[in-house]
Amino acid sequence: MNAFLALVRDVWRESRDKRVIWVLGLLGLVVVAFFGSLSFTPVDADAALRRAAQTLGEQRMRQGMFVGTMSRISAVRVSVAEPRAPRPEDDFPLGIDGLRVVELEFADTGEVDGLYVAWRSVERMARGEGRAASRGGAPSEADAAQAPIGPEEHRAVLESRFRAAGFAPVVVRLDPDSPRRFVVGAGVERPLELRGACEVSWCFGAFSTALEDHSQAEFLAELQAGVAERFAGFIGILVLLSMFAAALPELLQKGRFDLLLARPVGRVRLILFKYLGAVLFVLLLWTLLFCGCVVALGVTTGFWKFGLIGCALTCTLVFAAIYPVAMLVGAATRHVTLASLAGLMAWGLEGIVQTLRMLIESGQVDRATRWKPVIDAAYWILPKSSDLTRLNQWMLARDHLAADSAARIYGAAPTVDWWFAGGTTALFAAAMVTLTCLFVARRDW
Amino acid sequence: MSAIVAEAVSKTYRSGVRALREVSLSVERGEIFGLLGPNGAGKTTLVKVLLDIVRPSRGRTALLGTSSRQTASRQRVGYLPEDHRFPDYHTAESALLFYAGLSGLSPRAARPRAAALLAEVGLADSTHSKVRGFSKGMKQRLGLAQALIADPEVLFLDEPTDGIDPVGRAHVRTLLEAERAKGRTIFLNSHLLSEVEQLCDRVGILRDGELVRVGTIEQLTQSERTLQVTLSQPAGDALLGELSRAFGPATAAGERGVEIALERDEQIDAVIDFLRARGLGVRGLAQKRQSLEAVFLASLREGER
Repeated sequence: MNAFLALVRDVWRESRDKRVIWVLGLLGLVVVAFFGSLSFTPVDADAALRRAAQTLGEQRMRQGMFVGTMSRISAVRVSVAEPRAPRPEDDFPLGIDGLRVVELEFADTGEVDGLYVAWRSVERMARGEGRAASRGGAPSEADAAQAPIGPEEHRAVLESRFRAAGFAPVVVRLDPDSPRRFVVGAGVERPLELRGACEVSWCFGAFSTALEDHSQAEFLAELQAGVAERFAGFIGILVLLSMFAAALPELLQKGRFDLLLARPVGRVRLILFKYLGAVLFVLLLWTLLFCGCVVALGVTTGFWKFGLIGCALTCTLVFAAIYPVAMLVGAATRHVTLASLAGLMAWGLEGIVQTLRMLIESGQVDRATRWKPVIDAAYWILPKSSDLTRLNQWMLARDHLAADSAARIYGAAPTVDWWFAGGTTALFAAAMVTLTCLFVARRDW
Repeated sequence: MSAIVAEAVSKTYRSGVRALREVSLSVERGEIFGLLGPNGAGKTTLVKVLLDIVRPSRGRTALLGTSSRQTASRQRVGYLPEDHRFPDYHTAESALLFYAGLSGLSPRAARPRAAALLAEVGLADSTHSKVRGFSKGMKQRLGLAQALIADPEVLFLDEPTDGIDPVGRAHVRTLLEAERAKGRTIFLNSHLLSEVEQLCDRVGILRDGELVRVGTIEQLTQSERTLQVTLSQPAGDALLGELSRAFGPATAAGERGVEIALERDEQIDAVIDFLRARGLGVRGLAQKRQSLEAVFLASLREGER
């Protein structure tokens, strides 16, 4: 145990000695300070309801975790009355919190049909069944061929559109006198999930902007995902991989490794402890960063959401899976640059493989289909950082949003088998560490 | 039980270089053993084989009765490699605590020992200084301290005074003598023959991976069959001629000295009788000794022949 602790402390001392870790820490502090400077101001829910009605034909297209910009999926001309309180003649169920009513009149029922077809196309695309809508394009012929479309379909599409804007529950009444007119009752059970009902300010109120296309919950989920994926998952891993890649070649230098080998610690344990020390360092670093973000946000805004802390595990697992590649090459060549490059290349390669596989499976790349067995095999072998990144997204979505909202916005999560992704990633890491240990154990130093 | 044992150890590297050939030796507890040899003779390889840093092609080694292949054999062992490098992010103290930790000592137990050792090697003022700022001599002293940090029973020192000034060398010698007094076994690799001569109980000479001589300094430097006799008066050519005819080649050595190369030790009594019969007084009698350097060089020359 003393040997393990000595090596862990040594890894930390070595890390602290590198300037780059201080730069990373400083950036982390800026991120934490940014979270601490956030504040949210609720805006009138009627404005959100009006905006939802006026943007019925627009859909935010997902681009990774970031919901992206609004794209028009269907041309809709609709006149929107001023939102109001429910009236007895509306015949809405009683007991719905904060129920507001808006009356809509479409220029043409055909436009409601078009909206229905576009919505179905988008839904199918979200389930990975089609790709027409993924390009923000018009509904396909197959979608249009699903007629007939009647009042029930009209009600369904409108209910879905208002739910997508964060209203719940949503009740749609058809005007018996005109198929173009609808009365929509929208409840506000989850005010934090209401899109366009909030203004965010940052830098302690120095800057502010209205969240027109986001709810507060979505905004926070995306912001935290950005920290987990872009800061920790990309910049962080880049820096840490380059930094730790140097550790083993330096350790194996003539005259330095001898000092360790003459101690009563086996070679395998030396390498294993060195690896675990690095992984623990990264885990602590991300846990501190994410805890800082969570606490800063909670203290200043009162929103205590702890899902981000779980992302420390996935970000660390990604590092833990890629770092052994740098270790193996570092042990074989005792060359710092080659070790760094090997780690970065393995990371890049698995990213390319996963992207290609996703594109082939969604039918977006037809020509690469013949390579599918090769890509599948590479996918099976290599670590799955992209899949683990999606786990982050799902954790954060579930942390900030209700289950149905998270599923609606970010898709039903288990398109990835987390056990398979995590298990094979861990297996890859174990294989690389074992090879490194074997190499070091069998060689004369 | 011997502290260090090597039995018929051979090592051939993948490059084909035969670094050790059937080396067998044993070092007893409390002994200082010096290994001499020119560069490339295999001295460092032998130490590394004993410490399991290099695996032998053939043969067996053991430390304190435990096979070197077992990590437990290094539990009570300290090692100062030649050209050692400390991670430069360490301070003198943290480096010692690190190596103590690897030997199984907790920081609490190791801290006072580290402080004492740093004082002992003259680095007390640099306890919290980074190693990257150390001179070669300071690094060497720190290396000695790290070898001693786990209170070892067996010490392997590869050129321990390399880079240290003469005052420092004397200090190191004193330190090693103190360690011997504590009963530690010391295995010393050194180019400095005077150092080996002053410190070591036994010496081995390694030539091309072969252990060609092993023995105490006295055994190695003793030139068994050359008798040095100091007479009461100068020996003339006639006496030298008589001695040569009776016993073996005799030459004058100094004003009243004679050196006689004998064939057998038993001839010493006859030489004395011979001289006294001729009315010559014997004032001194000694077997001639060679310097260690001469023995070392002679061993190397034998190899060349």
